[in-house]
Amino acid sequence: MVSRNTSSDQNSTSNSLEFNWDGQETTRALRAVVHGFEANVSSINALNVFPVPDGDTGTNMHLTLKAAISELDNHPDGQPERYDEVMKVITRGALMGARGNSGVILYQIISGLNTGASGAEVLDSETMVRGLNSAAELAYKAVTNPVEGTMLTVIREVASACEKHPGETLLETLATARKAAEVAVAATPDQLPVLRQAGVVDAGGQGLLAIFTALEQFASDDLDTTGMTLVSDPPASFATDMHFLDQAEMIHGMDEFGYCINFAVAGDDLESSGLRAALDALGQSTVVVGDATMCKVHTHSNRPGLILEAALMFGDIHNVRIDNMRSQTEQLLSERHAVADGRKEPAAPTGDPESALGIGIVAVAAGDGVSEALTGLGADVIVAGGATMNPSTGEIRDAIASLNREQVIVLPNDSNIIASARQAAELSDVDVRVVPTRSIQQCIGALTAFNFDAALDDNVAAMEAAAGDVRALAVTRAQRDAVIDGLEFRTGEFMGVLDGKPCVSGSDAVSTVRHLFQNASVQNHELATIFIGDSADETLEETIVELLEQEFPDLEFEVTTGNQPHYDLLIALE
Amino acid sequence: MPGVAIVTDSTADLPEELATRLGITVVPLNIFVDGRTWEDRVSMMPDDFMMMTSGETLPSTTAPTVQQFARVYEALAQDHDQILSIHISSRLSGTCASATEARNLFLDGPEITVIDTGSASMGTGLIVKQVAERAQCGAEIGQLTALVENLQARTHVIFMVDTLEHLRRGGRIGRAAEIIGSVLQLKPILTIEEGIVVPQARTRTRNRAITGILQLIEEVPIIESAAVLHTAGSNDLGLIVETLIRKTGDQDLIVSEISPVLSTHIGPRGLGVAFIEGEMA
Repeated sequence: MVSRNTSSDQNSTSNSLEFNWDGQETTRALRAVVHGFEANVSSINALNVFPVPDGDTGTNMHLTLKAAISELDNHPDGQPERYDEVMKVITRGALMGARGNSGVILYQIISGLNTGASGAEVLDSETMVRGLNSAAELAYKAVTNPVEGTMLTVIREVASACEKHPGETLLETLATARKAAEVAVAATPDQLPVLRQAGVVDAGGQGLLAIFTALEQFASDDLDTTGMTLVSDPPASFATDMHFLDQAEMIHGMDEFGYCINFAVAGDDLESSGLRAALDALGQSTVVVGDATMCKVHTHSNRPGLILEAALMFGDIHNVRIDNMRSQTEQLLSERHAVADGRKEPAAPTGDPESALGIGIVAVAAGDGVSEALTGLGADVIVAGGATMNPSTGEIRDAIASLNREQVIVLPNDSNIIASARQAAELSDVDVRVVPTRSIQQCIGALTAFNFDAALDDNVAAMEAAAGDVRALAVTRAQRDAVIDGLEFRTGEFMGVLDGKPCVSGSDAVSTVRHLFQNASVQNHELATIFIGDSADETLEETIVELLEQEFPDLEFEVTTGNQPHYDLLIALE
Repeated sequence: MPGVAIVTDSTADLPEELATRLGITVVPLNIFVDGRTWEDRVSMMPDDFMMMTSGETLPSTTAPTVQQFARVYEALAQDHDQILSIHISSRLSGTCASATEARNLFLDGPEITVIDTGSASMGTGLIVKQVAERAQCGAEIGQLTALVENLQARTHVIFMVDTLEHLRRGGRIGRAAEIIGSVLQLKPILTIEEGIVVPQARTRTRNRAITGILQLIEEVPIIESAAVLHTAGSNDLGLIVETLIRKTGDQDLIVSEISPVLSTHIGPRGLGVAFIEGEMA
């Protein structure tokens, strides 16, 4: 039995606009936010500056939000009644689940809201303003060199607008927040030239806008009086796939069920607990929300018919919507599998008592060949992940803990993983250093410089220097049409990336890699180590080695199967 | 002949001419290839060896037998009362053990002292060379053993391997496990410390390994004596030779080809240096 009102408003018949949120209501709002966000994931992902397969901001923020909420689901004392308690729980969840830079900043924002929540039984306008201010403050502190035109700017603008024009009700404040976010996001291309050049707004900022939009919609929806307001019009600034469903839905889990089933059950004296129990037994991720006259149902099942039949026992059914989730999740699944295939078990103990006392090394990598190479160079444990699948703070922390060493070095191997690696380091009980490697190529340099006998500080310094000496070349396919520094990239065509920056476009991998080498001042280097990716053409290995050896006779080539996803070639120039 | 007879083994990598001139007796280790036994540096020279091991068959190596040592000691005992037998690290080879067993066979014979240098190749060779020179000048056994002890602490061997294959095939030498697991090529810089092979640094190209060795040499304030070591196929000794000549002032720097027995574990195109650090004033 759920009411949108706080307990003191039980008998109120007015709509929810003026109500504050207690713990239960905040929890529902957060679920709505996660769900609303999910619909935006792909459009936010599409906002990357370079058309390379890289840190998907939408996915990272979504997974961070999911982790925050699931902490609430697993809370031993049930769903907290108080707002401040809810915030405390989800802050912990966001901390452990933070993925990518955007996830880490999102965690800081949630953490700031938590600070502002201190002592607040319910979330009201004033508490919201206080929380937003600490959120902005914490988010800026979390970044070494804050850049304007990012989600930092957006949260600051939101906080400042709400401070200047606080609403009398929470809804009014949330509306102010959403409007401020819209304006701030739209302004990001003016602040950050790379965004302007790429013709996009900041992805993290857009993610925040999605969150504030969902919050406002949740607050303004009036369940009690109108029953169902299923679909609101998306704000104009959103991509077409923004379809914010309603406030009561659970997110799609990664379960094996094929259909997402949404409907309403109406009746005179609905037994919502009985309905919930009946559907729980048949479906997965079941949510039943409503009162004695109307309940909304969301569940996952392979047999939608059975769900509907069961619900009919309780009342009439309305507004049925059945979505095939498989088609939506297949792509994500295949990506995950590709990453998971690269997962390596922690290296078996060598039995050498000295090594147990030595420095442990955690490296993030995708692709079994790449992982094996890093392990061979001394990485003790590989955290599966990389450019397109950033591991969470919790995953990195667990890997650190699994080593059971006093001193650990973490090699994030992607610029978007450095922040969560640093956070994992802070969370660990042992002495952890992050050598901020931005690529697998840099990781090879760093690992080579590792000295088993040297002290931690000396190793960190040597590894950082060695990582900086490696040039990282990569060949991938453009994820979208783009023009960068006058160079045109068309979706699906090959692109050569030098130290993280796209600089060559080509219709085939061979010519792309050749131009890439010409751009890379090869004469200063001795060795090119080439990892062949799982998307690479089978003949590529032979063709490019022959060509490159001919063209760069002074360079030594080492070719190995990397099986990394998305990148046909990763090349380390040493 | 009066005085102390000096004995070493073939892995000291002393050039033959030098050993002859200083009256040093070299006992060969043994190599098995394809069912045949060869004596290191006697019936098999470094050049032959690389040709023979290019195939699939893995050569194996053993220390000199007790009998080999006993015969040498017996022969030397004809005209020497004292024998000083100076050898490769007992943590790398059973040579010292064989020598000690052989010594124990002589109840009333010569006074035989077996010394484990804790080193290898010209690390041992440089010590043996100095001891033999002093022995030729009539130094007594007590002075010579004290000299060995003094030199041991200042003797260093630094080398690189061009391929990990031979360290891999030969099993673990010291802490080689830290380098042999790599899928990617490594050109590690190795040293001998406390009698075992220890990875000193890892590099990924030959040039960087050589540069690394040069840096380590440059860091040594005074080098008293030195030698350059290499296995077959190393054509890039120039810089190391130049640096060591400059640092030692020794125009006749020894450049020694590593014995087949050690080459079994180092592989082709390996190179390195052995040197004795100058004593601090």
